[in-house]
Amino acid sequence: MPGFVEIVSQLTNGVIYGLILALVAVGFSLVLGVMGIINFAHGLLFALGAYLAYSLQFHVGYFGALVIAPLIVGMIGILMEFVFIRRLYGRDPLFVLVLTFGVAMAGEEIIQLIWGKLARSVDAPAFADSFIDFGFIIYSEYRLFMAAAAALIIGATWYLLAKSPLGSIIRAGTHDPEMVSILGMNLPLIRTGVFGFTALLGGAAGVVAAPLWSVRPTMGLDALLPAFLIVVIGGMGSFWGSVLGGLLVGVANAISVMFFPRFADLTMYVLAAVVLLYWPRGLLGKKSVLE
Amino acid sequence: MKFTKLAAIALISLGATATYAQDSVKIGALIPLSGNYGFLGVSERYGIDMALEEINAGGGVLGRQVEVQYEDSGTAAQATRKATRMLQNDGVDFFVNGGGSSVSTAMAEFAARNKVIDLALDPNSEELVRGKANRYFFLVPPPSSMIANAFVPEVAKLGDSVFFLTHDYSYGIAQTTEQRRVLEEIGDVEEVGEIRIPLGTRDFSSQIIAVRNAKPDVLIVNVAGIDSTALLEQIWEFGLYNDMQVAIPLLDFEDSWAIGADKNEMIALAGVEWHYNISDKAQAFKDRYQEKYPNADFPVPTTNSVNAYLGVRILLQAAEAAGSLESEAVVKQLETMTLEESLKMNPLTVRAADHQIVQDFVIVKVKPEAEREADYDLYEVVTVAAGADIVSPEAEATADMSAFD
Repeated sequence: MPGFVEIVSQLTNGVIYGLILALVAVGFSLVLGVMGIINFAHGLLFALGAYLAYSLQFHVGYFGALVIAPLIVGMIGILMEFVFIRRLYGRDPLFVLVLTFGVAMAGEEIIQLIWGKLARSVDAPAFADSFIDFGFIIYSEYRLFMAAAAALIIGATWYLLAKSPLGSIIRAGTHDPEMVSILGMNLPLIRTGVFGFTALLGGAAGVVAAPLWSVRPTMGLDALLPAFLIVVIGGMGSFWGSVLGGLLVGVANAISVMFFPRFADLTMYVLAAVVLLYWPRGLLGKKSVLE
Repeated sequence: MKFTKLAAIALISLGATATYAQDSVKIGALIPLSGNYGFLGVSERYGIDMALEEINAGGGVLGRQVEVQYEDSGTAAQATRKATRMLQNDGVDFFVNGGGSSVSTAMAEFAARNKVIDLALDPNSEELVRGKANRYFFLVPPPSSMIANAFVPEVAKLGDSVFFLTHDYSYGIAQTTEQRRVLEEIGDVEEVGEIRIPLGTRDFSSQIIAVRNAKPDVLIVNVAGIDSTALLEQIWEFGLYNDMQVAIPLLDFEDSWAIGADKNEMIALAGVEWHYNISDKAQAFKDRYQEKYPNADFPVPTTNSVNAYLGVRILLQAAEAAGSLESEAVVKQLETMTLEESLKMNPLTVRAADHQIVQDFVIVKVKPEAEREADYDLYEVVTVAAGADIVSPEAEATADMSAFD
C-alpha cells in the first residue's frame, strides 16, 4: 500500500501529466468541434512540431523553436486544408477521416526520409533542465514549465474562441454557415484559418513535448490515440471536455501505476468504456456535427 | 504468331531466372525496416552488407557470388508470409531475421516446417534456445541467462538493494527472472521492488516517482527498444540517478546515441554485446565500418550490425566448409563451427545441443569526458565475460535437435 507522501506526489504528477495530454488533445478537439472534422493527421502535426524543434534548437534555441516551429506547422496545416480538406466539406465525415489518416501515414514516411529512422533528443531549455526538491517530491522543472505553458496556451485558446469577436464569427460559422456567408463573412478563409490554428496548436504541443518523450517517426500516431480517447471521454468537440478528459486520464494513470502498474496502459480505455456507458456523448459532449 | 512470341519471351525469362538462381547464393533477410524497430533494421543491414562485400570479394561461396534479398519483417505473421514467398518464388537458400523475439519465434517454426536454415540476429529470448529450439534454427545473440550471468555479479558490487523496471513482455520478464536467479545465487543483495512497464509506454513519470520512494541502491532497467529511449530521457529529467545507480543489463548503442552524450553520464553500468575496444579485430572492424559508411546513422558499428555481420559470416563459412547449400549438410557443419574472426576476445562457437551461438558479453561504464577520443567514444570496458563461462549448462538444453521426417 503506497504511503500518504507517495499518493500526494503521484496525484500531483497525474494532474501535471494530464495538462500535457490536454494540450495535445485540445487542437484535435477544436477542429472536430468547430469544423466537424476528425483530423487523424493531428498526430503528424504534433510530430512535425517536435522534429522542427529538434532541427531549430541548434540555430535559434528552445524558445526560438517554440515560436517558429508552431508557425511553420500552422502553415503546413493551411496548405493541407487548401489542397485536400476543403474538397470534402459537406460530405460524409468518414471521407475526411480516411483522407487525414492517409496523410498521417504518408507524413510519417516523409519524416523518416528527412530525419531518418532513429530517435532524436531535444534538450530542455537551460532554465528548466534540472529538478526541484519540494521535500515530499523531487520534481522535474521542465514538467512544471510545461504544465504552465499548457495551461497558458489552453487559456489563450479559450479566450480567443469564447470571448473575442473573431471567436463569435467562428462559432457562428459552425452553427449556421449559410447565415455567416450571407452576412458577408469569408467562410472558406475562416475555415482555412481555423484549421491552420489547430495545426499550430498541434505543433506547439509537439515542441513542448519533445524534450520529454523523445522524438521519433512514430510519435504522431503514438500521440493520436490518447488524444482521440481523451476527446471521446471529455465529449466530442467540447473544448473544456478535452481538458477534463486529459486531466482524468493523467490522474487515472497515476493511480493505476500505484496499484496495478502492469495495467497502466489500459486505464484510459477502461475510463473511456465506463464514461461511454453512462454518458454516451462523453462527459461534456453535446449533440455534435457528426450525429 | 503472337503466342509464339509470348512463349519465347516467357521461356527466355524463365531461363534467365534459372541461370541467375544457380549463379548466386541467396540469403533472405527479414529485418525491421519500418515502425518502432526500424532503426535497428538499419544497423542490421549495415552489418549484413559488410559481410557480403567481404565474402564476395574473396570469391563468394562455393565459387558463387552471394546476394541478399531484403524484406521488412513487420509482424510475425507478415514475416513468415514473406519468407514463404521468398522460399517458393525467389529461390532463397538461407534466412536471417531481425525484428525481436516474436518474429524470431515464428521464423523458428517456419525454419523447422520448411527444413530451411534461419539465424535470428537480434532477439535475446531464452525460449528460442529452449522450447522453440529446433534443428534448423540458430540464435546469434546471447539470451537473458547469459546476460544475467555476466552482468549481475558486477551489479552486486554497486549496492545492497535493487529495484527492477521490467518491460511487460517476454524479453523484459525473462531478463528480470534470470537476473533475480543470479541475485539469489549471490545472496546478499535485496530486491526492494519491481514495476512492470506495459509495452508502448511513453511517459514514465509515475513509475519514476514510485522508484524514488522505494529508495534502492541500484535501479536495474530491463526496458528495450524505443520505449527505453524515452525512459532514459525521463530518468535524466527527474534526476533519479542522483539517488541511486542506474544499471542497464542490455544497452543498445542506438539508444545511448539517441539520448545524446550528456545524458549517458547517468548510466553507472551497462551490458553490451559488443564494443570496439575489446580487441584489435574489433577496432579494425570499426575502422572498416567508418570507411564504408561515413554518413551512417550511427558513427560506430552497433551490436545489431555486429551480430548481423557475424551471423552471415558463420552461416556462409559453414556452407563453404560443407561444400553444399543443402540444409542438412550446412546444419551439420554449423553445429561444429568455430568462427575465429569473432570480433571479440574469444572465437564464436555454436553449441549443437540448442544451437546457441556462444559469444562473449561486455560490461561497460561511462568514460570520463576528458578521456574521450570522439563524440561517440562514450564507454570504457569494465570486463569481458567469456561466452563459455556464462552460457547456461548444456545439461539444461531440452529441445529435440534431430531431423524430423
